[in-house]
Amino acid sequence: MALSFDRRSLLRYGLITLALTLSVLLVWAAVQVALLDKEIRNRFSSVRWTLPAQVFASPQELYPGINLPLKELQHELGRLGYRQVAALEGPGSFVARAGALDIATRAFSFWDGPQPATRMLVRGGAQGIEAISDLNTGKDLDLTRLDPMLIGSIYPSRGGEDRVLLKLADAPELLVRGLQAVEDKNFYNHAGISVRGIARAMFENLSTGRVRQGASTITQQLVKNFFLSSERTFKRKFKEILMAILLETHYSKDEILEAYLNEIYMGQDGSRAVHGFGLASSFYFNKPPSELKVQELAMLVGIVKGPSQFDPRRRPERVRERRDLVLRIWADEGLIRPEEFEAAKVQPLGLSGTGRGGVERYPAFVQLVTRQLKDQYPDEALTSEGLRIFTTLSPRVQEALEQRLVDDLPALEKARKMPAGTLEGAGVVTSVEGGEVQAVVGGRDIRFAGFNRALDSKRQIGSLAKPFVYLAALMEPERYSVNTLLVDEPITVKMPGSKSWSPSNYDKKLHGSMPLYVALAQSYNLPTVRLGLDLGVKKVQQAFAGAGFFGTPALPSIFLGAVDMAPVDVAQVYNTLAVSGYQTPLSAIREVLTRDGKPLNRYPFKVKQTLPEGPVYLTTWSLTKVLQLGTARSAYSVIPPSTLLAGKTGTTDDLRDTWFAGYSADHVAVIWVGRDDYKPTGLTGSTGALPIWSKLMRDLNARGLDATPPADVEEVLIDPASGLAANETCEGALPLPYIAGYVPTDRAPCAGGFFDRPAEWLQEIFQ
Amino acid sequence: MSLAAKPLNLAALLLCLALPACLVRAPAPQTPTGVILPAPAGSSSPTGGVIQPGGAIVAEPPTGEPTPLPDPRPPLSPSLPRNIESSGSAAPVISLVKAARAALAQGRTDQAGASLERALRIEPRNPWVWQALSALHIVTQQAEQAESEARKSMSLGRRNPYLDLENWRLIAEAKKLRGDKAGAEAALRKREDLQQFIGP
Repeated sequence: MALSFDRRSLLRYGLITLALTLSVLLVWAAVQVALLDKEIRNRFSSVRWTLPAQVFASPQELYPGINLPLKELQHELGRLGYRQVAALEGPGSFVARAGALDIATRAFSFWDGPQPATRMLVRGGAQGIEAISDLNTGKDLDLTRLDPMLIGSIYPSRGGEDRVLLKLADAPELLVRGLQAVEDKNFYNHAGISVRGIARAMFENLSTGRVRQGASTITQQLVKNFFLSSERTFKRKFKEILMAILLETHYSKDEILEAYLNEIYMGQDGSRAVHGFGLASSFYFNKPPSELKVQELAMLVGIVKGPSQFDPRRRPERVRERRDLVLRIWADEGLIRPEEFEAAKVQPLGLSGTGRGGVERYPAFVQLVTRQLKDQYPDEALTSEGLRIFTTLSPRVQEALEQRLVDDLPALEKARKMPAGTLEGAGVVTSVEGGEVQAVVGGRDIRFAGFNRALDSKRQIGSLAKPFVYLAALMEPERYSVNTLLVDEPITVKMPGSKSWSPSNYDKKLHGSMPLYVALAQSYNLPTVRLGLDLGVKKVQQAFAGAGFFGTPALPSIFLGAVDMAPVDVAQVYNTLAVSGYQTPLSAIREVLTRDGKPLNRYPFKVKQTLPEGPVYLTTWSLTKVLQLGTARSAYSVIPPSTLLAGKTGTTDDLRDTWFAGYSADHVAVIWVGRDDYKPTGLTGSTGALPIWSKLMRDLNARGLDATPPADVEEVLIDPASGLAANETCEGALPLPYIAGYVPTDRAPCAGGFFDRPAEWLQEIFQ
Repeated sequence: MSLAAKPLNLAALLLCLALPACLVRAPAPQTPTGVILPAPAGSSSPTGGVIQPGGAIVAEPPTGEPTPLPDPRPPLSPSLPRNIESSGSAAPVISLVKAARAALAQGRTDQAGASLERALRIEPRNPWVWQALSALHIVTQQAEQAESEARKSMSLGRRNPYLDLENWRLIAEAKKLRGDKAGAEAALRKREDLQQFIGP
């Protein structure tokens, strides 16, 4: 009895305990599920809404009359991933014919509105483009532009996930259906998991005693990608299954598929993880997904299985086999026709040659962009808001600058018998008007995203400072003109609290007296120091400040360039000279748009007159003499002498740094060459940086400066012997510019002045 | 970063630098450089020179009243363009300026600015586009910018009185916006002189 009671109560207690335990377990499980649910939803929405900012180059403008040889336009199309074909296909293709290109452009959403895809005929030649017409309507086109090149993205440094958003609606149908055919045939019907698949996997796992991968639905794969980890345990697998089911209850199939297209891991580029088909398309083929061919889509779908195992660049054979397998599945499933299958499987992989697909090609420039943005946007906005950033980079100019440093530094080393890799270099090119930075190279390893010498290597600028001493003088036209005689004699400057300073000329010689512009053209130190001392340090500092640099120390040594500046700082001050004193702060960004293409921020041209136009013109005029008769004469062995250019050589003590800074009507370019260890290079501005600059200006087909003086400058004939007004009969008379009101009016002997004047003077006395 | 270099001693520097006249020449203190009408008076410059301590041989500063130079203004040519449409500007530049006008008429100043800057990338030294940009910045009340752009237009226009008539009006507007009444009046006087020169 007692026993039965005991047994019964034991049973009851047991049941109660069991029920209690079960309830606790249930509650615990519910809590776990709720936690998982929250986790998966957070992660899902963060994937859908976390997008790195995309950085674009400036678009190539096309209009009749543009100085863009057809060949260069064709090159630009190649850079953008346009395919050369025999007959025009969809957007992103072109046909090259004699004197003409047919181009099917891509649609693109610009700052000022969308530009639809068009098919156009561009006629022209070596001189540039002559006419553009719309192939559909036959109408002439005034102005159009190509889609801008994607040059990088700003992704979080931690994790390094990069992606380019691909909307499901924009994804090629073959990608969407082909992906399901290979990875998850039943995707639109299951509830997140495939029971049969799991059963099969469990059987395999149990029989082999290991947890093997596979049998995952698209939903499960997406979940797995969220928590990237190669851990393979039953617990994890269970969690994955649970999360997949949860995901399916919250989101539609289309939403899950779209997230998959953007989240799935597709490869590695250094520290950057390539996620999603949008970025993979540009990373492997340098074009948008909409332009991918059958075999290219098949390759992308193929490598989903394991991008490190199937790395197209490292294991092309294996990837090709995998691709052909995908093609066969597609053919079997009827997604492609047998003849398409046959045609596709004989194609090579067709990877883009750069290895970087247009993205991450210009790290030095992107660094500049990031810095400018970081002042205004929090990091998170840049790495997650999907901002579209339109920059001023000109791929054509950038490539020209890169080519010069990559080719010419080794050539210099070879010619000077230096060990390879001794020299470093950096360069900046700006647009003159608007102050747009068109190109930045931060070192000879142009793809290296580390130390950026163009922005951060602050070095003494040597004689690059001289134009600002002369500008300060020419701002006092009652005292100085370009023809004022300066003497070249030794000088010692006493400086309070330090040793006295006795500069000398670079050639250690004295050259007598000479006109001011000659002293600048020949870069003589002594006349420059004397001139600077006459003016006072403050005036020279003011000239620098007017040009946009405020960090000059109040020391006479600045006359000879004892001031540390980075190439980009030099580009700023020379840009101000190039724009006639209307200072424009250099900028690398034009516009920032939200991910939906709505304008967020513009960076308009900023112009402020900070230096007087006349004296700036006189300085530029003197700087043209640097190339015509001074230290940069050799430039004209490379550039046609009819192209008027202005510039200045710079060399620092013991030949540590060699600089050239100069401008045409359309480009300011600054080149620095030196060593990272500050050791002497044995090169001067003329032998180191100048040849690189000259070839760069030649490659850019730089437009010559406008020789017309501004309204307050007059150009008059001057007799060099007397410095007085000359006329056509004077031999060797030179046209020299003067600030109006300060033109020499007394005539030189050769113009009849010497004999007339005393007579007049006597007459006046005796009258 | 150097791109956004912060001005040091800005007040002291700009006093002179923003008004370059005080550095350039003593007379005409209220007219900074870029002022081209009427032709600046001047004096003859040195025959000899004085050797200064430090070695530079500089001209003696002019003394007394400068002798007025003949007005170098070229005679009014009927071929001078009166507007951008007749200025020989490239077709895309003209269409962009028209687009900018249309945008401005709808109050879309950002759009207008973008179009004008696009035009300047095609023809960076087109004075009519700089003038249009100045006019835009009067609307957006960016007076300093507007004045610099009008002066730039004047400088690039090489004394086209039809162009400068509008530039002086813009400069006057800009001065007014900055509360510089005297400056605005001076600019308007320049404009009237010019109007008389052109005739009705």
